[in-house]
Amino acid sequence: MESSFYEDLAFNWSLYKNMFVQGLLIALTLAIVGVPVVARNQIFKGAAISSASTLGIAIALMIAQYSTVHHHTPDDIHADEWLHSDAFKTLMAVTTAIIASLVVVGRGKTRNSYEARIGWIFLFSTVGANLLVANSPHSLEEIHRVHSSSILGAVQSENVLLTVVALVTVGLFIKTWRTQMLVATDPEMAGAVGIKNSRWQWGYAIWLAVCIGFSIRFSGVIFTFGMLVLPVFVARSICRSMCGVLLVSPVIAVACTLLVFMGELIPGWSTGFPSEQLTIFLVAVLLIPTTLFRRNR
Amino acid sequence: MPQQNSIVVNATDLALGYARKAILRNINLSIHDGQFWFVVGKNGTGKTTLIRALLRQLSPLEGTLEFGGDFTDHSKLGFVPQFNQSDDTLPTTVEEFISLGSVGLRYTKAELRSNLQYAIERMHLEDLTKHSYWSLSGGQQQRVRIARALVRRPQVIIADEPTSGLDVDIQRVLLQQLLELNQQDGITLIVVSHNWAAVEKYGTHCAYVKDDSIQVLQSEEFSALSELFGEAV
Repeated sequence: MESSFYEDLAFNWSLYKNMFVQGLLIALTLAIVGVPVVARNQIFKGAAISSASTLGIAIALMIAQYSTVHHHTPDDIHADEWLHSDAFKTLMAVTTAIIASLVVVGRGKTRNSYEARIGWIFLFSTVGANLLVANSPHSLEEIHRVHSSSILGAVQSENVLLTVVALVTVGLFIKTWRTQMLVATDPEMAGAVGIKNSRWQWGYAIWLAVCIGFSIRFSGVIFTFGMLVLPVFVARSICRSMCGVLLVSPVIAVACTLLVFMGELIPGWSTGFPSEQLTIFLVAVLLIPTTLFRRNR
Repeated sequence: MPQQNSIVVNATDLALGYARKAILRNINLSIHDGQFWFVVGKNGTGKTTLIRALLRQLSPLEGTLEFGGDFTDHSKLGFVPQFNQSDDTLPTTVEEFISLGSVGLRYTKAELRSNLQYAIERMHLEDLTKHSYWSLSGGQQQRVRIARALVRRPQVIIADEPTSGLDVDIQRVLLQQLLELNQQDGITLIVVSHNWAAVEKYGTHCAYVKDDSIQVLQSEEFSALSELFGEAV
């Protein structure tokens, strides 16, 4: 009986280890890079960039489909392989995320114009992605999978890439968190003391898009957007300082992911619900008592 | 009193504006170390344009704007914005808020600790360091913002309407603290204000911004023009 448990555990680990590691890496990265998003009060920027990234995947799927229909020579077939690869979809997801992020960099001349741009990108990208693949059942299924979030099918090479993104994110924030926070919370002061606000905002916008682009490709919209903002919300409810938020937010994201994903690994613990959505639900539920705690403090 | 000899800012036939359209012209002024300057004028006359030039965020359209002494770069500049632009999107303690003022400077931990202590003591914030910045009153928040400028150990502080929206009593306390920084620590102050009474009481010099130009007044000239400014400012 006991040996069967360990055999099942080993089997589950071999089956889910890449998904497990991928979930943790994405949670760690997004919960850090999301702090300036919340600090700037640009919550829906994350949703808009996520949608733009989905549009990138839809464009990649359509280009691949077009290429399949129209290739004639052996060279075309070679190109076709690349256009059908995961790397091409990832490249397109990151590229469109960067474009969207640069379009909404800064706050805009007025809050209204900024919100309008965010709303336009979100709607254009979401509808555009669905319309592009509407007549291709296979592509439509993949876009729906991206919308609803699923890390199933994660592979080791993706995890190497995500490890690099996570390490760079952690390194950047350890090195520059004070400047990041000043630029995010008080750009006028930052500019006055010689900080090049626009450079920092553009640099951050690009890195945010890279993180979101990779995360969307591997984990989908709900997990990406959820991990970008919800752990920061929880952390700010229980912390007293920005530094505390930067430390606690990734801890919450990783802990919740670990808790839910462990359920998939341990035999008999699986809830049968999609792990990515269950993780986001858990963090969202955690926000309720922590918000009450904040109000009563 | 600090010696008032070295020039901190020198403007000669300066024209300032945006997209080659001058908003202020023929500006001639010299700000010396240890002086207490006020910049006064009606809304929309160009006070912010002048301040942006002093913060090196705006290049001259014509003329020259030179910075001297330790003020040749941003390291010895402290800035106190009128309002904190951020909402309370993230929690922050008074101590953390003040320490962010040192961003961009290469301090050791010991230097930062020492400067933080100096800023907290000078603004009498010892009892508030662990408090949430967002829980403070308007007057306390403004003292914290001045402390954030002080953590840079500045030679010059530029403050954009630091007393705006505060009770008269709190304005008086805040201006008195600024005067102490000027007289005891030798910090040159450039303060944007609409409060002519404060100019008369605390200022050594005044830059009156009117009709796309700037009139420079010394303290002995204040009283003769106070009636005019009382209406205009």
